[in-house]
Amino acid sequence: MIIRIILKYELKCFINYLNQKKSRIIGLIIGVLLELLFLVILFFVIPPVSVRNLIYGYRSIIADSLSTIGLFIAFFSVSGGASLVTTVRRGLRRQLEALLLAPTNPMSIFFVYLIIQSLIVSSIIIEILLPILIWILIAAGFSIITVGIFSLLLIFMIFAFSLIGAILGIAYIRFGVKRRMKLAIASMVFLALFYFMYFGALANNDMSSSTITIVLRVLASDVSPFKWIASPLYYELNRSWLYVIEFFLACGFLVIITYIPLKMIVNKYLEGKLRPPVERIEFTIRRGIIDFLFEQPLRGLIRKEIKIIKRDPNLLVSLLTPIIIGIVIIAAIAFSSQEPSYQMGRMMYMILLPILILASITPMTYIPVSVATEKERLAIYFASPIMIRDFLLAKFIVPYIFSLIYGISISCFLSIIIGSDFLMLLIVVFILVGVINITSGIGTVIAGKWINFKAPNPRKALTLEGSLVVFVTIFIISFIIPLTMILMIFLPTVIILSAIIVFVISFLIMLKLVDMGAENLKKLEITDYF
Amino acid sequence: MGILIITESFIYEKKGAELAIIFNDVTKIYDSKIALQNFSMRVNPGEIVGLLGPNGSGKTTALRIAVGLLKPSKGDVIIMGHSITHNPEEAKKYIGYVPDEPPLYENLAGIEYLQLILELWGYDIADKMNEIDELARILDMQLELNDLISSYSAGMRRKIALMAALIHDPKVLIIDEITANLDPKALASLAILLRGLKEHNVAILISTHILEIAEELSDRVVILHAGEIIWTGNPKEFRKEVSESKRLEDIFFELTGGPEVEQIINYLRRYTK
Ligand SMILES: Nc1ncnc2c1ncn2[C@@H]1O[C@H](COP(=O)(O)OP(=O)(O)OP(=O)(O)O)[C@@H](O)[C@H]1O
Ligand SMILES: [Mg+2]
Repeated sequence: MIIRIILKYELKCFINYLNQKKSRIIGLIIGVLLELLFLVILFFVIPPVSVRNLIYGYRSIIADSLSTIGLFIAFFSVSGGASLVTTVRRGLRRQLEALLLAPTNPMSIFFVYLIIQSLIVSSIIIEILLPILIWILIAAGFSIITVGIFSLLLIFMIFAFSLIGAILGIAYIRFGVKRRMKLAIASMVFLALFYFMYFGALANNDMSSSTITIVLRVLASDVSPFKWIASPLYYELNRSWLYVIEFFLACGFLVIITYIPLKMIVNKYLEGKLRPPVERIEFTIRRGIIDFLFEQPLRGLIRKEIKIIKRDPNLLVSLLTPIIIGIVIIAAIAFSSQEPSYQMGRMMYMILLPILILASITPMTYIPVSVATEKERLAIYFASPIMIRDFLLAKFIVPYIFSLIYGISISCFLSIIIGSDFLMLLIVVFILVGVINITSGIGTVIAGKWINFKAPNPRKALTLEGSLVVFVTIFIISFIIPLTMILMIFLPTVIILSAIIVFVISFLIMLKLVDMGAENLKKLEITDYF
Repeated sequence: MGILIITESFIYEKKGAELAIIFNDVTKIYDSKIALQNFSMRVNPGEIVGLLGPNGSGKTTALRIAVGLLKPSKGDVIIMGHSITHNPEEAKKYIGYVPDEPPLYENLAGIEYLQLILELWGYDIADKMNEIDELARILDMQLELNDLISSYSAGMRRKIALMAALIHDPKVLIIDEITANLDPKALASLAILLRGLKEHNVAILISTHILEIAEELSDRVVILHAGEIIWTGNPKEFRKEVSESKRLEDIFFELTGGPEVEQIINYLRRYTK
């Protein structure tokens, strides 16, 4: 059976991958232990039965809300499936090509292969969200069998929607650079609008009229596949034939949305349509601000960096996501019905928090991803007469300047809305710049030291140590910023002075960290990344 | 060290020319596997040296060490008087390197990639447009230069990598698998080009599996086997002195082993059932 062969082959690859480095095995063990710990805490330390009395009465509301959760999971699976095709494409192609040489029906090879891959891509849902859902359902008194059937339907749904995502990904690859960019921006605007309406609906309490509630109602109605998925639960609540029909409708729906995309993927693949089309670039030599600001080779490196960001939606989206979120939050504040309270000007800076944290961690998360996407192309730089520090600096400068502009302009904008004084704004900007300096520096250290260049998806290339450093830094920052703001009220002079000191010292720390990152990156050999 | 001093003085006497590439007792060990052992060799300016050897004999390893992509476990490589391990930025200025599988940016057009390479070497592309055009004509790439590299065929990828190696006027040219994916015309053009560069004192180190190419192109051939040099010499002179009939292929097979004819016959038996 083809499924056994593929599973064995995947397992062998995985074991070899683990055996290459001790840290990978340790990482896996820690991951498994954490998952076990999570499950033990969830099901034994706070057993679902213990809260049954509390939520038993809300069973039907819980069942109703599953359609919204289903929508969320579907979104997630679609984007996972798309990333499967767009980012992991090259490694995937090679493996598929090896399998397709075998004298078997390509449909079955794709089917098995995509099941495995889509479940890996959706592992967060399966490892964390699904256990929580199961816990809630058991707590609400649903029988184990009902919950089990529902879980299976949900996993089936994840797979089916991943396939739809894969199809979208293929369509996306076929787009030219410009159309891709438009699509990426359009989908971000759409998401922003969606969140805006969602928050708007929540803030206004006027649930009956908003568009979002209409959407939610349709989702939970009898014609919605997302409700069909929950039919086993409804059946337990209310033993009606309607729900048996809906169950079969759900299965049929899933089979159809699995079969059609699968057929399309196989056809597209065999037609050779997994390759981007030939595309011509108008090349002109332009002199711009980059030439004015930077010397060679930084000039060339940054020019290339900007071109790549503009053509790689993955990088663009990771850079622009904080902007979108910031705009949504600001818009939500600006349009909320409450008048801002001027006496509370200083405290209102708390609202700045998520935005400032986002702005300050963007370089830290972006720099390693952008270095990881280089993979074997690092050889270009290691074989060239530039200093590796310059390469890292170019990776650093783009998100750094971006974060500075973004963070400072948002601070100014908010200070106008809230009507705070200039001194306060200055302090916030000083602290912001200091934090961005340090996190950007940390980003380069991570990029130099804790990246696994052989990971198929550059977004997940951080090693265990790297992820820990990111995590700890975010944790500390989310304390530092509010702490200084609160202390500002009680010890203004101390804070002003220390903000200035932090501001100055952070530049030195940043340069030191970039040097550290470069020192580590220098040690790489081609066998580490090719 | 002694050898180095002797070779150095030797080269010095020879028209006072500088040394282009010196492999000085280079050893490379991966984990526990020895890929290259006590490899010592030099290439003079205006000389073409061909590196031969069976699969896995260490050719790519040697070339990667020479351009600084791998760090030697022992020994050093000197490029135009600069150590690749101690003074890499200076040494790499002189090297044009064409890897066997060139790493390229899928989302850049060929010309944009060349611009990047030029800027890494400190040039301005505006001063190099003529040369790019000429090279593109030589390699039949004029039409494709503005296409995104993602649409290139394997041969076009090699050609753009060749252009990138040549465009910054290297004094040392290192090409891995010189014949890989190139069409006959491109290969012939490349051979003529290399001979011309040699006349202009460029030191050229190539690796190949095609013995005729090595014989025709190189002044000296070095045969590697299991990480060690087992034969080195000038194929043409060798033929004159030893025997007209002996081809490089014969030497190669004598040293590294020829085809396993008996095994092949044995294997083919299953078809005669
Ligand atoms: N990353 C690596 N880890 C371990 N061993 C390696 C690695 N890369 C190469 N080797 C080993 O080093 C030896 C030399 O390899 P190298 O690539 O230099 O050979 P080559 O002469 O270029 O071969 P080919 O003609 O096939 O290109 C081989 O035995 C190979 O198995
Ligand atoms: Mg090789």
